[in-house]
Amino acid sequence: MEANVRKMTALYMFVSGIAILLMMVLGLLMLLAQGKMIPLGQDTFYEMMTAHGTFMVGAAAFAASAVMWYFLRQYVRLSFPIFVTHFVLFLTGAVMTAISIFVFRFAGAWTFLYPLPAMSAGMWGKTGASLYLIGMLLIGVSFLLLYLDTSRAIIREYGSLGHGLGWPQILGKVKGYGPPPTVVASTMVSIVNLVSLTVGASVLVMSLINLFQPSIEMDPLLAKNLIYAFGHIFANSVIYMGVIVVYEILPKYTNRPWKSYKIFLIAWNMSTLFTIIVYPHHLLMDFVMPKWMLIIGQVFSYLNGLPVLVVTAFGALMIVYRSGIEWDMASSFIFLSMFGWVAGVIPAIADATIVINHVMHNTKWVPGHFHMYMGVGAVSMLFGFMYYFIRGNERKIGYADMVSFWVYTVFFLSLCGTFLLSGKVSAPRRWAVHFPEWVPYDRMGAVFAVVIIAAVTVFLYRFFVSVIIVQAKQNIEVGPRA
Amino acid sequence: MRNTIAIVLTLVFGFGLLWHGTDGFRAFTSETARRLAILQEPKLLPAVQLEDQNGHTFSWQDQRGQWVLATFIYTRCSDVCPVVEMNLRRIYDAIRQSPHSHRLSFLSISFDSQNDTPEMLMHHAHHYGADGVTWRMARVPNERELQRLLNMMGVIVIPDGKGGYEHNAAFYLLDKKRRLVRIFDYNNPQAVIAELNHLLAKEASSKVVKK
Amino acid sequence: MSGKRYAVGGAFFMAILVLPPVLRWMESSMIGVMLGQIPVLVVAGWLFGFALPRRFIEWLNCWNENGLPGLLLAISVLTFWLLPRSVDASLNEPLLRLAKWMMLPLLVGMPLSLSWKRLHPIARGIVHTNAISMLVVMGWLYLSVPVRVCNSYLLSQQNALGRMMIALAIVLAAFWSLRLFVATTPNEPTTR
Ligand code: HEM
Repeated sequence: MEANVRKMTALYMFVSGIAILLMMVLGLLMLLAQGKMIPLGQDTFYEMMTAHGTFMVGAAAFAASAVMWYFLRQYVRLSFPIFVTHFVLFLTGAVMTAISIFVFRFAGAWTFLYPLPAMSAGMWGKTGASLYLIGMLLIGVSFLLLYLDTSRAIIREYGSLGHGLGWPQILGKVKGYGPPPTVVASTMVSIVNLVSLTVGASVLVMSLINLFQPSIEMDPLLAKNLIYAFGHIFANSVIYMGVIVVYEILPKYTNRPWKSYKIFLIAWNMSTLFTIIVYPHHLLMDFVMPKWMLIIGQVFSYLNGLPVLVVTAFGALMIVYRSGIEWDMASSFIFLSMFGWVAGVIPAIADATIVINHVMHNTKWVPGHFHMYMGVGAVSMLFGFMYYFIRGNERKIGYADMVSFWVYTVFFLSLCGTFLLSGKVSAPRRWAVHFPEWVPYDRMGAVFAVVIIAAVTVFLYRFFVSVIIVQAKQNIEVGPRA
Repeated sequence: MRNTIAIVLTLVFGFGLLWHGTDGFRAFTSETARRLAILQEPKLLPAVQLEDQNGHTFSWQDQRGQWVLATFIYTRCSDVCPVVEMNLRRIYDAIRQSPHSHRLSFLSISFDSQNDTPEMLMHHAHHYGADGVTWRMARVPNERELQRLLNMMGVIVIPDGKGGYEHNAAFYLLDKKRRLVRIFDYNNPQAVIAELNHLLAKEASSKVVKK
Repeated sequence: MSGKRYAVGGAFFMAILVLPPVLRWMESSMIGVMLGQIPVLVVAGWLFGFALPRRFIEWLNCWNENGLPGLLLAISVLTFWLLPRSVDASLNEPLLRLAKWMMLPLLVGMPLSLSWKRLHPIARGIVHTNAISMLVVMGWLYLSVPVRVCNSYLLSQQNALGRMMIALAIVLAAFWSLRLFVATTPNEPTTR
């Protein structure tokens, strides 16, 4: 069983790793196109952007869910068949989505903003759009299954989701520490994603109906809000799943336990509440409230993770301080991820002020901050987990890895820097063709992207080889299956 | 094992039920179902006495030799009927320009026989520019006959409690043999014109062949 | 025998539904039919499920090991009777009305009561979440379809039903999520 779990987890990480690598190549192509270094038709650019957005968020969430599952099962009884089903359903959905983008040329962006899917001006047909939506629906169902299982298991073990979040300890009914941080985080993610996926299923089905019966219209504002409620919560949850790596690995490296003390529990509860409250509230405001309140809502939606961020960053510092921790790949990535998370939130705050300055000015500043948050924050957690996963054969992990780590760090931050700078010279996001004054940033970004891709290739190569070797070793010990 | 068989069987049953219930996932409402049924199998109209805006009575028989595009309205209606009549007017104008103008006549039938006297109908005809010959306004004075006609055509009229009616609107195409052959959406006159031209042209050419 | 009591309960519900004033009142509005009559018929069938002879239940269980066949049967039959077309037909054609009154208790309520407990908790969770999102979708449909879907009802009733369905979805969502937070007895207190 244990071997099966390891095998499956490795498969998850490997598939998502490859997807992330490929999507980085698409990102590079987009930058090359924006920098006028390769001719890429507008249609192709938007297809690539759709694929990049969909599969980056999808693959990161997919890998993060495996991380969560892998650690959570130490504390509660999770169902392995569900873990496998999640894998299969997700891949099926992803393949359908990929076909819709690359064969049927669907390019309505990963936020499939209504009514874009239905109004393509002849660029993609109904088949493409419906395939994309159905693929997304399958992906949604696959995650839904997983979170239903985690909630079930947590309730079984701890009595309720409230207990999973440590309510008895917060209320002082029970003395001592709350459930392990992994359980707290998993509870939060299960809750917010059950909400987001339910909303997502509704809006996907609505879009499908609208596609086939255009006379049945959706209020565009409502659709937009529903989609964002789904998309933002879901994308944000990647980091809450990934952070489990921090809670699990740092204690092992420092030999100091990470306990759920009261402030920690309160912070997670606040983030849960904010995440759930902010979106419906945000949704209501859109209809009746003036713009400045919208902006406040926007700020809130970026900041709902702040409590968790603060306790985690602080906790990580405390646990590492004078612990004589060994800085290998896993622990380095974890520190990088904490840094990326913090650094990603700062431009978000600035973003809010920028939005206030030029209302609705959607510049590349926005991708700038979420690439920091996702690329340096969330994705680093995943790479950290991969290295933790294969740490049995340290011998092999060496110089090349450490160099790649620093290369990744420096150049990913620089890439984000070019996005932020383009934003400052008001390059809008989602434009296939850029004005000459934005082009230098795109070209710089492209160069950085090449280097990042090389570094990621090293990580994935190491992971793949190590997993195979361990597998091979085990087979030798057991002897060939007779 | 038996469990799996049962799953497969229920899936087949469920699919069959829904397939059957929606005519192969084409008709989810009774309105679409009716249109589909009529398309496949035209229905014979009941005999009724109609009274036009001049007070002349007539029946389907008198329309022999011509197809009829009919619709159901009441003159005091202020929501759909004006749209229906404006669209009928568009079709009327388009067909008059076409070579088939003599093959089709138009009829707006009021289901509010109480209020829609010939005078009201005459007024209504003027309002929409109906010539009173190719496009007539009519009512069905006999209540029983009216109900039979509405039932057969699938027109449902519900008093809204404020002196008006809520009703479904469509255009109904009757062929020369007093059969209902098509039901069209009232809000897409262009499609109706295209289909009418197509049908009438087919009819004309088949006549030539017969001769 | 408590089984009998359930049967009486189910029969009681159905008897109330056929009382002419109740029938007229419920069928006079779309909400009455969709959120009154249909659910009560299903509940009646659910109660009948408890009254079946044990032998028969055991035999059925061989075929309904994990509850999925029963669930699928119930969902497809329910979907059928929720189609606007069937709603119209069941009001206008006596034979179909009879079919509806037989099928909703016997092929929706009863299979549900026989299967619900057998379903895997995750399957139940899927039913819950799916019920919520589909209620929202249906509510939205009734609000935004520009034409009347049921010839027997006014557009305003259709819209009222749509709003009611969305409200119901919100209530259900709140109810179910509250239930997840209310403590059952844990395996052991949070010492692990
Ligand atoms: C080598 C690394 C990467 C490069 C070169 C890259 C490049 C790009 C570019 C050029 C855009 C379009 C910006 C615009 O003009 O609007 C973009 C958008 C985006 N990227 Fe990346 N990216 C990289 C890594 C990532 C990672 C790791 C993630 C997340 C895990 C990610 C998620 C996204 C998302 C969600 C969008 C928005 C798509 C949209 O607007 O619909 N990217 N990326």
